[in-house]
Amino acid sequence: MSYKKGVVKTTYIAIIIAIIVIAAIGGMAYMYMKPAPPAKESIKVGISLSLSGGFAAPGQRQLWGLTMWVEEVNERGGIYVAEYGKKLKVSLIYYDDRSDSATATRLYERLITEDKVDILLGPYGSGITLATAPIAEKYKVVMLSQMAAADTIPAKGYDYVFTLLAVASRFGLSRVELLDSLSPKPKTFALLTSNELYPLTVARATKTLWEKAGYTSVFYEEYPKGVTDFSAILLRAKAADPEVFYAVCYPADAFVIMRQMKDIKFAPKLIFLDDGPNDPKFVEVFGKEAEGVFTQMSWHWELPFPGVKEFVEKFKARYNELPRHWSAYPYAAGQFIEKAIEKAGSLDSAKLRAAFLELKDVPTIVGPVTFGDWTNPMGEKLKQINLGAINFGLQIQKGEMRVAIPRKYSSVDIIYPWPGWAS
Amino acid sequence: MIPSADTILQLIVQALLLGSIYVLMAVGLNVIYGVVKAINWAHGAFVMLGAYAAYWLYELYGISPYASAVFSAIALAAIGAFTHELLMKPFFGMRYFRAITLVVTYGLAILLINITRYMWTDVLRGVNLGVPPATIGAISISRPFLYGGLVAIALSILFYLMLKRTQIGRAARAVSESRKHAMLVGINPNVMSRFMVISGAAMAGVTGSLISTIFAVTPEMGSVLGIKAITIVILGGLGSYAGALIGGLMIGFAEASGTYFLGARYQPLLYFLTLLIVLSIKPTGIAGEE
Amino acid sequence: MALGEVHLRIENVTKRFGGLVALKDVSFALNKGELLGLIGPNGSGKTTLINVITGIYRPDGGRVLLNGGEITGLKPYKICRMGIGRTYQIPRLFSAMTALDNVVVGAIFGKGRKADLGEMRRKAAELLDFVDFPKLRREELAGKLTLMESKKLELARALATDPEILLADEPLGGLNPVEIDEAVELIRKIRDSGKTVLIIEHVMRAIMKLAERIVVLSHGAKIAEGEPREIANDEKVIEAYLGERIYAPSQ
Ligand SMILES: Nc1ncnc2c1ncn2[C@@H]1O[C@H](COP(=O)(O)OP(=O)(O)OP(=O)(O)O)[C@@H](O)[C@H]1O
Ligand SMILES: [Mg+2]
Repeated sequence: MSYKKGVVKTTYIAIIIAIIVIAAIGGMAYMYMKPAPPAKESIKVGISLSLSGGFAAPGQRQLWGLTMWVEEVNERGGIYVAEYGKKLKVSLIYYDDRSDSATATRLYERLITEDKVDILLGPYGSGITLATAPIAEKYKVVMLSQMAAADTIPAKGYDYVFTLLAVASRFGLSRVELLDSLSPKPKTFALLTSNELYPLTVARATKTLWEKAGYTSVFYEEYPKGVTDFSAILLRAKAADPEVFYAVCYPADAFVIMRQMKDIKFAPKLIFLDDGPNDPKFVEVFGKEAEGVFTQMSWHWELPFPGVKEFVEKFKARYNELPRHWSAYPYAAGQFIEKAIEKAGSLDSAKLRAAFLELKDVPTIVGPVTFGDWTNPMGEKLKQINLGAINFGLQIQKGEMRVAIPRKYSSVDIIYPWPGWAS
Repeated sequence: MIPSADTILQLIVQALLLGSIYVLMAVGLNVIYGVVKAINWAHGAFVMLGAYAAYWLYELYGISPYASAVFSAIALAAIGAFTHELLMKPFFGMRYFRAITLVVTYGLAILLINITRYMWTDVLRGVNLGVPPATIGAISISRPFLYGGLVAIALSILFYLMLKRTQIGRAARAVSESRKHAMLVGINPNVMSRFMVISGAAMAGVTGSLISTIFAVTPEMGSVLGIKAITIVILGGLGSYAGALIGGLMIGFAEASGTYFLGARYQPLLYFLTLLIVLSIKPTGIAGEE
Repeated sequence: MALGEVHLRIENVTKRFGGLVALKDVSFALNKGELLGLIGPNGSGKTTLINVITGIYRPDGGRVLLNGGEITGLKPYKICRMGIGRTYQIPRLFSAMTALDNVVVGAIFGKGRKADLGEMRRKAAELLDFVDFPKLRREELAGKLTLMESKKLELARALATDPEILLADEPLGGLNPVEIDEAVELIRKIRDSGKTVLIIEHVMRAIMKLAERIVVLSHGAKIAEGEPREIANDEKVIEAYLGERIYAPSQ
């Protein structure tokens, strides 16, 4: 029996060795036989998308926005590249990272080394972007990130990574404008924030900027993950009697906060909830009481930028829903890349990077884009972020989310003070 | 900042109501622990499912969560039966039964939470009954919270009486002391443990229905509440009825007052310290047996 | 069933614990209405035999027959409901329950189970009186009782299941002489109420007076069976007890 076992084992090993040898010879032969790369036929744009897993919903919408741009640019015959003396069509190469950072990292490596893409677009979310940005930097391929708002990424100081979306610390800019544009101007504010990295950055930047602008903080609280009941926190906020109440929170928290504010009859003159009221569900649930509540979005379908109307119409017709920033930003990234390649007249990474930095106020559906360095309110130096990026302050009016801040892009009057709870 | 007397009173009422909800949740968990002698890690996930059941019935058919609590209870009873038969009973009598059950129900919790997340996503959900708060003197209390707290306390007492007074209650107590000896007086311990796991799960379902009217309904609540429930029963004493009561109210108070006076960011620390202090004085929990 | 018929039959029962043979091919019969003594030195397998009969252990060989029907390996609660009650060497009560509730639990789920809780409570109270359990201690938690009270309570609980056969594991163990006399009386009374009784004892003075017939185990094997007088003079039994003095009745 043991003899038999030995024979089986030997045969097994022999087969495996044979497979390895054949594979190695085959691989080598393939490498030698591979023809020289043909003359440039298209501009290869590479991206890893979260088409399945936790980020599948926004990831899919990211692809929709990109697809619309690719189709449009190719209908126009492509992008003129001086180096080749002709227009080249754009081909989008994408893979599904299943919402997983490690997978995305391998995919970017593959996009660069095997697919030999000319330029990269960033993946979905700060987490995956943070993990994959070093790959772009390592191979010196330009990566235009459109779906990451964390300050930590531009704070790394990468040369080849550009951040299109408004980073968290810039949210404070429109919050300052909001308070400045109220009359009578409020004096005090209360700020409640989740203590996770992203909300915390938004909250700290806003607090710093508000205080600098002369508003007094009467309540500041960071709540950890796992808080289900906000009534004690709100009770203290109420006792501080602020005029403005701002919560940087997740939708579920906003829901409870809103409800419990009502329960304890906490009625400041302004309520701003970062996430929650920007979900149509919020208005549905709170009805009249949602009226006048502020919230935010990185983009809005009624913004007066050139091309927005056409984009929205086309998107709605095609995908049967209103586009959100998940689709608008990737589309805008395409618009910017188009201009950058034309300017560089080349697909060489160094030249592209230079063009990215030279271009000023490139018109896109997310507004004029200019890349540059910026020091955030906490004093961190951020490299190559979109200095035109805005986080929009919205107010619920007649059940609709309307752009309220920046005022120059708004077509409505701000309701202030907030009417209070229906009795 | 020194709070006014009214604020203190308001805080106390809030703490009591929050504590009551925790008591019901902990009683459900302890009911299971009592006979099975193992922690059901999926209890929080059960509560979450109860909350989703209440949410969907309200959303789709406009059924009040107070009415649909019966449905939540039945649905969770079914899940409880499944848990008992497939995830607990096969391991009864094994040497590492407690550890096995903990791991298996932990797996179940993750599974349920992820299925929920997959099916209904992280989207904001919750039942807003839109009822105005109740005003008593200077304090203003959420009605859903008030009703929820009262129902929770009533149910806890009812179940306590059931355990103390009825035949099944006596048998359950006998089994919880010793499966072996209970068998020798004619009690089928599997029937009793099935009954108690079903009861505990049904209570989780009711807890979920009540919570759906008070907090937001998210897949996350499954793990958050699960850990809270486990903390409470360990604090109060595993398997002890009085322990669930004391532990639930204590955590309710610690949470409300700690949040008010120290700040929300110290909540996890506060839990940990409360647990540490209590367990270092009495390792079996406040009302736990030696 | 008539008196003297075989009530419980042990047939070639063997039970091993790993390498240790706790019961070796043990066979004997317990007759209806009889009071049988089971004796043997420490570790001879007496308790193990009871555990096999009541279904706590499944034997490695042999059968257990109740009224001619096989009950080997049935679940303990089933065996209890078929009419076999037991008490432990060291009383095993539900210590967090009151004395009365301990008996009620037996009454509810045992052979004579009924749905009516009130009736069960009455029955439990009667049984407590029957075993002479102090009335004032009924609502005391079982964990707080004295040894004698615990033994009485355990007997009452076993009786509450309406057993036809009572297996009593060293009911006299740990009691003082006065208590022993009381307990002996109680066991007689139980037998006289029509139950078949198997009583284990390894101290023999009392059993010699009490039992009608005696089975002796040594190292897991049955070495003798007979009337007390025969047993007392049995060579093998004397040897098994290593020269311990054996008391025969009226000596
Ligand atoms: N569960 C068990 N696992 C292993 N060995 C056991 C087990 N139960 C009993 N034994 C062993 O079997 C033998 C018989 O034990 P048993 O308790 O039946 O003796 P006994 O006659 O009742 O003794 P005593 O007079 O001391 O009560 C002993 O050697 C004991 O150690
Ligand atoms: Mg023994």
